Amino acid sequence: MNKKKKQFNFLFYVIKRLLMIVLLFFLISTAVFFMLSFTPGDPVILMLGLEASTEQVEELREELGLNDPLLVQYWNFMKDTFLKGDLGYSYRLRTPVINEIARTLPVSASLAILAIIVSSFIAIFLGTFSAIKQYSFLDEFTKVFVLAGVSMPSFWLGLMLILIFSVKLGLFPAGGWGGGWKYYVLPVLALATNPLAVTARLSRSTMLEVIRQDFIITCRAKGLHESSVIFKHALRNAAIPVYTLIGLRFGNLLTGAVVTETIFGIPGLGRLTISAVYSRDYVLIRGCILTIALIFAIINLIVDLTCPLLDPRTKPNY
Amino acid sequence: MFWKRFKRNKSAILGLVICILLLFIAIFSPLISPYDPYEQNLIEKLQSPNSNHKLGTDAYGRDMLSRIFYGAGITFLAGFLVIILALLIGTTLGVVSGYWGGLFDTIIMRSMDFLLAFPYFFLAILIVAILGPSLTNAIIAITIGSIPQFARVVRSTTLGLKELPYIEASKAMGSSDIRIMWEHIIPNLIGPIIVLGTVGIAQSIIQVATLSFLGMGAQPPIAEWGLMLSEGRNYIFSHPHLTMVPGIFLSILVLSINLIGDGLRDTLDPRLK
Repeated sequence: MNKKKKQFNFLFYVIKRLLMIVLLFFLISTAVFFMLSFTPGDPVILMLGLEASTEQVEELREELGLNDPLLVQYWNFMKDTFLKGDLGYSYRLRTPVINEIARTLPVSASLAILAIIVSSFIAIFLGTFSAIKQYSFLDEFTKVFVLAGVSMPSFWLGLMLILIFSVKLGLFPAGGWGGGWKYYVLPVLALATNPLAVTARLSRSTMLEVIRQDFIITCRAKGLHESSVIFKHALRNAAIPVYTLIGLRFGNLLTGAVVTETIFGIPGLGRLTISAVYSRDYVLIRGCILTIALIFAIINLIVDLTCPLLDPRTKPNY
Repeated sequence: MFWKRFKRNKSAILGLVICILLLFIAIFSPLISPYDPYEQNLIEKLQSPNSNHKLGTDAYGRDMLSRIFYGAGITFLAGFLVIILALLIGTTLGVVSGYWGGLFDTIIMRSMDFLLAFPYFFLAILIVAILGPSLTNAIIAITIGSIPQFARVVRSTTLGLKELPYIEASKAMGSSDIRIMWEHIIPNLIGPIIVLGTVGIAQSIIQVATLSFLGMGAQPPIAEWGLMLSEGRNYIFSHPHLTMVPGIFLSILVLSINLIGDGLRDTLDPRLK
């Protein structure tokens, strides 16, 4: 296959995947819209309180378009979402949902990206060295750490971090946001621990497999230095599954973000979602869920597209 | 044979012992609890661990030890319910769509992909937002979120199994589809199902507790560990035992189940080691 055709195929593949995401987003929007429209409770009464007069309620219902037939509401919602990128007005906050998301998303994203970076690097380090020196102290430490990391609920871990590092030692603030790097340390630790444990286990088992393969023996036989064998040849192969599963772990990370943001009082997307559920603010819930599903889909697409850079053997099916 | 191999795995045995111990606590909690877990006693509220209340009391003066004991039952029940329901539904869907293929397979698997398009936990939050917060609804939400992973694994294993000669032999002898699935395919799935299910119990216990912690699962005054943790959160500065104790029990329970799961995986599927 010549180069030009290859590039064309790649482009075609990317477009196909992007169209799939649009279709998926369409289906999710539809499902979320109808699911939430069948929920009990009148959002207008929730907004105005029980003592609101009938006229007030009627007026607001009319204003929000809640008196329209469901299918008209659906049509308006889809039109606004897809053509204008407008996710509607939050019932409770009385602000456009898109503004709330734009305000909270960067906070969550910075936490998530830091947690992914921290956890991936430490995990690959731990996994690699415990595989090279199997049954050593480091290996046993990694095993214990992995078990503890996957067994501790993240909300409890967060609270214990607060208890130790802010209540007892007074090193970091117990919560809050926007005062520099000190506010990042505990949330990132709480967020990174679970993915760190899962990734360390994965990279250890992959590394154990890789270093027994023939090409590693070849590397050693031709007299390469051990560090070069491990870091140039083995590590690259062991890093592949770690990278491809980032997408999957990102889902867990979003779960962790809800909990971590709640515990540390961080104004992120996770806490926004939870507060929307508490206040039964359906427009806001819808906006948050749609945003999260979209981000999740895009992350998975990016991972799939960039994977061949790391491992030329894995060609996407184009 | 199975037991012989499993027995050699010391950490799995440790996990099993801890798990059985906690299960006994859960079953016999009404007999061994020193107090009524729901009885409020405001005179004795917020006590640190002492001789009367071994693990102290909470903000309503309820005995923490008794609440922990009762909570064990709720936690086990929630975890098992989620996994049993998810396994029943997931296995059925997986076996049938793997064996029959065709349109049914396409519809089921596309729906599973659709469920997987949401990050697991947000699907649960969405379901709780629709049904309203309660322990039952949290269990339903986590169950729905767990079905796709089981269905997918079971389906792909079934796809491999159905091509084997003995299935063909059975077909040639005139067995019905249902009979083949029930007698020949499902027994071969037991291994992977047990492994997935054990890890799944650990996961779903954490998920249910997380929902309860966020106020979307068990509601007060239920003695559920996640909820107890969230109630203790307000007193973390003055009475840290209220958050430490339920978390320690939760972690130990999940840890013991994970140890059993690892042991089972090594025993049933040595290749994965």
